[in-house]
Amino acid sequence: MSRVYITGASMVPVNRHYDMSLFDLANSALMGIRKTVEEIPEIDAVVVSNAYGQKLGSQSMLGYKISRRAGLSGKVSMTVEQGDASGGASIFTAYALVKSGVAKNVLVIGVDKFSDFPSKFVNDATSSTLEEVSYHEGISTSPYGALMMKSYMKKYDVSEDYFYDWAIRMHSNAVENPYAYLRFPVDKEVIAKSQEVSTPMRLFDIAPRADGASAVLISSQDYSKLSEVPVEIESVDFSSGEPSISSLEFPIKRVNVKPERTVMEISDTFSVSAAIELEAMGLAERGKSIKSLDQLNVNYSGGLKARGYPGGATGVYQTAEIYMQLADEFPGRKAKEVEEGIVLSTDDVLRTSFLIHFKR
Amino acid sequence: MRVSPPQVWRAKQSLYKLTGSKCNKCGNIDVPPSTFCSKCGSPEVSSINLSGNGTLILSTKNFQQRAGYERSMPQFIGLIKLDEGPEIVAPLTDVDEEPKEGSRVTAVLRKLTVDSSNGLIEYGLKFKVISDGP
Repeated sequence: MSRVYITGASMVPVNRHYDMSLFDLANSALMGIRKTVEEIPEIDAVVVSNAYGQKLGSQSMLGYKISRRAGLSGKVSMTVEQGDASGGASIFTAYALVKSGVAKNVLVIGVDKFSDFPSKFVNDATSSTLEEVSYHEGISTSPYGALMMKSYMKKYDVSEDYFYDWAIRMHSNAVENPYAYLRFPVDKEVIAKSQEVSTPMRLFDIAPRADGASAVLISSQDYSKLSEVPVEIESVDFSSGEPSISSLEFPIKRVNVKPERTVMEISDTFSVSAAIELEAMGLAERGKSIKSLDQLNVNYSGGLKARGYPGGATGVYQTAEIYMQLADEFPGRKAKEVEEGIVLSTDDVLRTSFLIHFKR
Repeated sequence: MRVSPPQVWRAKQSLYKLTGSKCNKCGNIDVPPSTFCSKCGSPEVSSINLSGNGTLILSTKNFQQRAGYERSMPQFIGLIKLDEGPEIVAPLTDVDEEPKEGSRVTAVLRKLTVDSSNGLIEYGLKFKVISDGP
């Protein structure tokens, strides 16, 4: 069984790319890989991570179409869709292909596009991840986040402003990240006065949707030297199950890492999601994680909250960010003296999660 | 076309009345009903009609619009513990402000959305407060 490495990564700045299609975005990410990896090896498989292209872009078979446009016809190609956890599922797929020896080099491309339609249509598309009956009842995902937030506030006796520090930290990190969407700082007053989306959740508790594409090259040990600083995928864990909102028991694995030596990117679709994830992974005390951010190297990209939330591409961005951090190539805020990395890629209401563990 | 009659017809066990499935092995109740138990995977499940009564654990007033549901905004959504045990997230109806936690609620049939192109109406269950919480 081969060891598995990340050997290259690129990102398109997350933004409202009105002038770019799904294919333009994917091509831009691929061009980024070509610029950063000196000798592109023979690619055996292309995995495209996309969640909402069928509904919002009227495009299926993106795996085939994007690989053909990249001059990779005849290679294994597929689209992986698992809602907002599509990125983690795609990295897992590529990891399994290389680990098993089926492929030596797999190109993972995450792409999604939200800005072509007004929010209410986008909300309709993202609500398709809910159970069929909830979708028909007109429910969207934000009320789930709001109910989780209320449950957290009740369980740990904290008020809404407990969560403000997450948005403040994410925006502060994003200011330094040239790939981030919301590159401006915020303070408590701005957050407190922001629009209510689903009580008690405000605009700054929710990740802004935008367009994005990111590409990651995943290679077997034979090709690890493609990267000056090879970053190994140590493991990929998977959890799945229906969450219990009232008990805040979510199916996320605990991790065995030293937080001060580990840089991590987690899925903060809602600020409460970040709190629950950090605590469920055992990285912070329950009910206090948002007050423990100084002890954690978390979401130096700005997270979904401020880097932006490009749907099914998110987990690929997170993987690219951790690779760049460990390879000392990240152009934004850098983690110091870290040796390991973690990506937690989840769907928006935490039913499914992929936990990817990296080592330099 | 937004409303698909076959889709609505297929979902009638959940949209028009509250049906669940009870695992004959572990006792777990799934709502909406499932062929296999979501907890232990057993195929030995029985369909059960739920009372439609429950207790409101938490609620939220949602302002985030969804295409086709604009007329029901703002929308109240509740986390409800059904009397039979399962917790569900469902829309509330006939409320002007967030109801008290612990309120008793019951399922009622209401209009969900209308197809703008051909006038088809989709109906489904929402929950109404029948007595305030403590």
